[in-house]
Amino acid sequence: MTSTQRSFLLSQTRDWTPLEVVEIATEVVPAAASSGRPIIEVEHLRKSFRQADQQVVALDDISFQVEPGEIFGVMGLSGAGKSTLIRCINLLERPDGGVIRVAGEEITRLRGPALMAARRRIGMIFQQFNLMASRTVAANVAFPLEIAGWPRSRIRQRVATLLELVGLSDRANAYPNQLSGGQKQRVGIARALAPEPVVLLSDEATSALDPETTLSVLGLLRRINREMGLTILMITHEMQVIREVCHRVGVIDHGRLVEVGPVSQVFSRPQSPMARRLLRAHLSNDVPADLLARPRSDGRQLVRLTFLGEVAEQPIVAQLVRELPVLVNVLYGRIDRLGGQPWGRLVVELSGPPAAVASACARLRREGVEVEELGVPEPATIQQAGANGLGKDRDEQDEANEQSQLAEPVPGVAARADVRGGAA
Amino acid sequence: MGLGELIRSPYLWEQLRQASGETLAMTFISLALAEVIGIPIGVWLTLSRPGHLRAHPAVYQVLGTIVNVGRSLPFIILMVAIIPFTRWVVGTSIGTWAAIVPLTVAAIPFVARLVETSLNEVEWGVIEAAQAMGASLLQIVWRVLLREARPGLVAGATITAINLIGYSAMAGAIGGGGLGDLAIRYGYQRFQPAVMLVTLVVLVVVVQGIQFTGDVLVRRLDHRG
Ligand SMILES: Nc1ncnc2c1ncn2[C@@H]1O[C@H](COP(=O)(O)OP(=O)(O)OP(=O)(O)O)[C@@H](O)[C@H]1O
Ligand SMILES: [Mg+2]
Repeated sequence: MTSTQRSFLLSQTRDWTPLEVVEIATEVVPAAASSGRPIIEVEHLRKSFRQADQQVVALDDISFQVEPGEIFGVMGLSGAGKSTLIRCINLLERPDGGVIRVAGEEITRLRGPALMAARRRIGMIFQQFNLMASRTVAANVAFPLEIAGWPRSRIRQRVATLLELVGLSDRANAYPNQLSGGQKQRVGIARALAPEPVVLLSDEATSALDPETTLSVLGLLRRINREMGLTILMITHEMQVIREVCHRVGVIDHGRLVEVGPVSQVFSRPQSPMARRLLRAHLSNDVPADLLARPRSDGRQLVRLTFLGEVAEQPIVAQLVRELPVLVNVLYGRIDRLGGQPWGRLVVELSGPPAAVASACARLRREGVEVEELGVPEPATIQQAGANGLGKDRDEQDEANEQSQLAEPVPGVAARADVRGGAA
Repeated sequence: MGLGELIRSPYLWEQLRQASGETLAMTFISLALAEVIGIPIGVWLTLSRPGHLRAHPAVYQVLGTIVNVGRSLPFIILMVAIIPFTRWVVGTSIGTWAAIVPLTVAAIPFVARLVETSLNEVEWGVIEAAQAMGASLLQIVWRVLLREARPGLVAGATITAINLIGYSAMAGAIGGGGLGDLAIRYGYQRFQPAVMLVTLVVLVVVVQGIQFTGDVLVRRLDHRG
C-alpha cells in the first residue's frame, strides 16, 4: 500500500479543521480558578499501613488543593495509594500526619459528633455502590437524611427531587437487587447528594460498569458538576474517565503526588515518568514503527502536530497548504477532548522544497501548534521496543496494555495502525 | 388403651391441648428472652472482632470463650446446675416457668453466635458507606447491621425455636410440663405407646409450622443477591 492510497491531500478539503470531524462541546473550565479559597486543601498528608511485619507507606507527603466547582481526578497504578488518599479526605482512614481542610474546616482535627457532622457535608460514591439491600431505592436515598434527623416530609420531598435528577423516579420502590449496575450507581449518586454536600468523593465509581454505562454515569456527574457547581474529587485507573470529565488531574506514584495540572496539559505534555507511562498507551505511541523506519527521500519530513484548545478549531493546515508549496499527507489522526478542551493530533508527512517545509514548520509553531519532527524514532519508542524484547519488563508491558484497552480511539476519525492495535 | 379408643378420649385431648400450650409458651417466651439478651451480646461480639468498628481482641476472646463454654454444656446438666438460680428467679424449680429459666440461659450463647454470624455477613462496604454518611455507632448497629442482617437473624431465630422445642421436652421431664412431659408420663411410664405416638405427631407438626413460617419470613425479608 502506498502512502497516497491510504491518505488524502489536505489541500482538497479546504476548510477542514481537525475538530469539525466530531462534534465537540467546548467546555469552559469552571470559574473555580478565579474564586477564593480552595474547597479541599491537603497538606503534607502521610499514611502508612502495617502489613505483616513491614510498614507500607501508602501516602508520602501529599499536598494539593481542589478548587470549588472543579472536577479533580487522581490517577495512578494499582496500589499507588489512590483509595487511601480519597478515604483520608473523610477520615475513613485516619492519616498519620498532615492536615486536610474541607470548605475551610480542618477535618483532621475532628472526632466524634463533629466528625459525623463534617462527613455529612462530604458525599461519597463507591465502586461496588454499597447500597443497602434491605432498603428500597427511595429508602436508600433517604438514609443519610434519616440519620441527620430530617423531618419525614422534607425527606420525602428531597428524595423525590433526587430520584428525578438521576432519572430513577419510576424505580423508587424497587430494591437494589432489581437494578442494573448503572442504575445502582445512580442511586449511589442520589444518596451521596441527598444531604447537599459541598464536595463529592468518587472512588472508582465507574470501574464496575461497562463502557456505555460508564459514559452515562460520567455524563450525570458532569451535569451535577455544571448545574449544581458541585466539586468532585475522583480517583480512577481509567484514563478515559479522567479525559472525559476532569478539569485537573493529579498523578500518584508509590504514594507520592508526582504531577498536578490541567488535564489538557498533563495528557498532551506529561512531565513525570509515571504520567507518561500511564498515558503512553492512551495518547502517544501513534506512529507505526514501520513508518518511522522507512527511508525518507529528501524533501519529505515526518512531523507530529498537536493542537490544543483554540488552535484546534482553526483551519491551519489547510491554509498552510494553500499558501506554501508543500503537500501534507496525513498518516495518523486523532481527535479528542482533554479536560473539556478540544485536542487533536496529526502525524503528517510534509513534502516540498526543503526551505518551504522548514518554513511550514515554523509557521505552524507560530500558530500555536506543537510540532515534533519525527525523522528518527523517538527515545520513548526505543525504550518500548526494548521492553518488548525483555522478559523482565513484562509486567509493566502488560499493565500498559491494560490501560490501552481502556483508551478507545475515536471511531471513524483515524485508523489506528499501531502495533498494539489488536489489543485495543 | 388402643389407638382408636384413645382418639375418642376427651381426657387425652384436654391433656394434649394443655401440653401443647405449655410447650409453645416455654419455647417462645424463652426464645424472646434469649433474643433480647443474645442479640446485644452478638452485636458486641461482632463489633469487638478484629478489624471491626470497635475492635478489641481481648474482649472478643473473653466473650467468645464464655459463649463457647455456654454452648458446650449439655442442657440436662445446665438445667440441674442452675436450679438455685432458677429458684431465685421464679421462686420454684418445677413447673413451666421454672423450665423457662434454663431454656433461656441455654439459648443465649446459641443466639449470640448466630447473631454474630449474621451480622458478619453484612458487607463491609455498606458499613463504611454509612460511616462516610456520618452515621453514629448506634445508628450503624440499628439501621445498618441489624436491619441488613434481618434475613439471617430470622433464620437463626427459627433454628433456635426448633432447638428450644427439643430442649423443652427435656425440661418437661423434670416437671416442666409440655409435650415431652406428656410423652414420657404416658408413653414411657404408663406404657401407652399410642399416646407417645400422638404426642410425637403433634411435635412434628409444630416444628414444621415454625420452620415454614420462618422460611416465608426470610424469603419476604431477603432482597440480597
Ligand atoms: N487497610 C489496609 N491495610 C494494610 N495495607 C493497606 C490498607 N489499605 C491500603 N493498603 C496498602 O496501601 C497501598 C495503597 O493502597 P490503595 O488501596 O490506596 O491503592 P490504590 O491506588 O487505590 O489501588 P487500586 O487501584 O488497586 O485500588 C497498597 O500497598 C495497599 O496494599
Ligand atoms: Mg483503590
